[in-house]
Amino acid sequence: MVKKRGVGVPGLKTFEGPAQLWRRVLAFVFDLFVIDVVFVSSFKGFFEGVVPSGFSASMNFFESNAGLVQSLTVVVALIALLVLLYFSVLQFRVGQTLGQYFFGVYVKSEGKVLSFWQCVLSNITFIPFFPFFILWVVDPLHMFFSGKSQRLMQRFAKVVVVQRYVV
Amino acid sequence: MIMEDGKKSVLGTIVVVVLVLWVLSFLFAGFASLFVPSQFLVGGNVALIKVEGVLATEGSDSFLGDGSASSSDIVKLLQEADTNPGVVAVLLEVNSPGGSPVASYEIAQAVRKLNKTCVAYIREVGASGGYWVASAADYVVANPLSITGSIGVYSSFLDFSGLMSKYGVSYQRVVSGDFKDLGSPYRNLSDSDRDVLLSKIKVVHEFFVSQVAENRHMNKSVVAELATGLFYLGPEAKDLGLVDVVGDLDTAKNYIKDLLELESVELVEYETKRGFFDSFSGVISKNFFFLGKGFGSAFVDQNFAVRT
Repeated sequence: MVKKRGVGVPGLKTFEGPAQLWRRVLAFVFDLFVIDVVFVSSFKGFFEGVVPSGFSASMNFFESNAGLVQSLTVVVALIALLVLLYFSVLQFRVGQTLGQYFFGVYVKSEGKVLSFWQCVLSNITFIPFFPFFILWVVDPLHMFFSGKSQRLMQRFAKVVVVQRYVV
Repeated sequence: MIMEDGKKSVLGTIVVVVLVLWVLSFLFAGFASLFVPSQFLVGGNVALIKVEGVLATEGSDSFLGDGSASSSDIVKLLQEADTNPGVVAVLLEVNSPGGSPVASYEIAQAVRKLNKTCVAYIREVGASGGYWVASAADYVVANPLSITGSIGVYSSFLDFSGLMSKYGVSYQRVVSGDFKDLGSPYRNLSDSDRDVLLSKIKVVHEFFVSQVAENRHMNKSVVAELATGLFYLGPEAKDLGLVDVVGDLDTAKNYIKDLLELESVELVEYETKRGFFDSFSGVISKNFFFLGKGFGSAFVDQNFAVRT
């Protein structure tokens, strides 16, 4: 793509390439902040009323109230669903999440058109249940060994995170 | 300009999607609360656990219940209250005429195992097994008009043998041992049968008396004298040492407040809630069980049981 800069000034050439790591990390941190403020805060009152604060206190609580663990599993699943929807819907609709928007990176399909299921598959890592949580380590590590800086699930989903470079 | 418009449109879409998901998160949070029993959601520093109805080891699956108090459920509630760090004491509201000795024992044991102060309030009836449960608490408050005590064990069944002979129905007894059909409602109780039943009842009675004596720090012989099966009103029970004080729910709350030096006592009711599908499947499975079992076999079941 060539941008016109005005009369007599040569146009700027832009092209897409793999997004820089720092941008991706900061975009992800920003998204985590959004998720915490927007979604998790809705459940905060719920958790504070149910689970005692402190690691040992909460562990004792869960050991003694095994039945409640099942109920809380439902809650965690609902939050995970919201997170999955946040990433998948936004990437499908506009190609980027809020964090990615602010840090100038976006998601593209390696094929023709980005489908919703590609977005879901690439973000399936956020499901906090077996076997998906194994991906929490493997998935981002794959970025460092991939030519296109793809996470493992992005590779399976055939999506890449890119940014526009200006020459 | 076109790119700026495109950026605005992207940001607008992002904002709309985030807003929709934000609303959805509130709906999910509300939906999630349906899965958690109320005692975990509502604050309160004293757990109120009601022991209402005839004591049985297992309760009814139906929404309306069968008027029984399940020891399985109550023991679970006691354990939950004990492990909840927000709860500093347990208030047991007893309104039970007794029931199964096993259920009474299970609940009383769970009360004794509590690591927190437990006060029992006998509201209307705390008789027999109901009293056994109340006696296990650290402090017992009885309503002045309540019925307490009735320490004793009984066993009864209907004798249909006369009615059956009147209608020409006979009971064909085929047993591998003399006592195999002990307590059958279709034959007369022989003297030896009666002796056997009485000896068993005496064992349960002795155990009941010893448990009450232990719980109330009373002499076993004193409790044995009171254990005639007679019930007492609140003030009588107080004079006999079966309860600590005559009063009402506020008396029990004030005792906890003063003992633990609390600013206030906020009760949080611990109750077993059965979900719609639990109740539905329970009722359906029971109905199918009885359908399969048939009326005939249900009719010949022995209905003999020991009751406190």
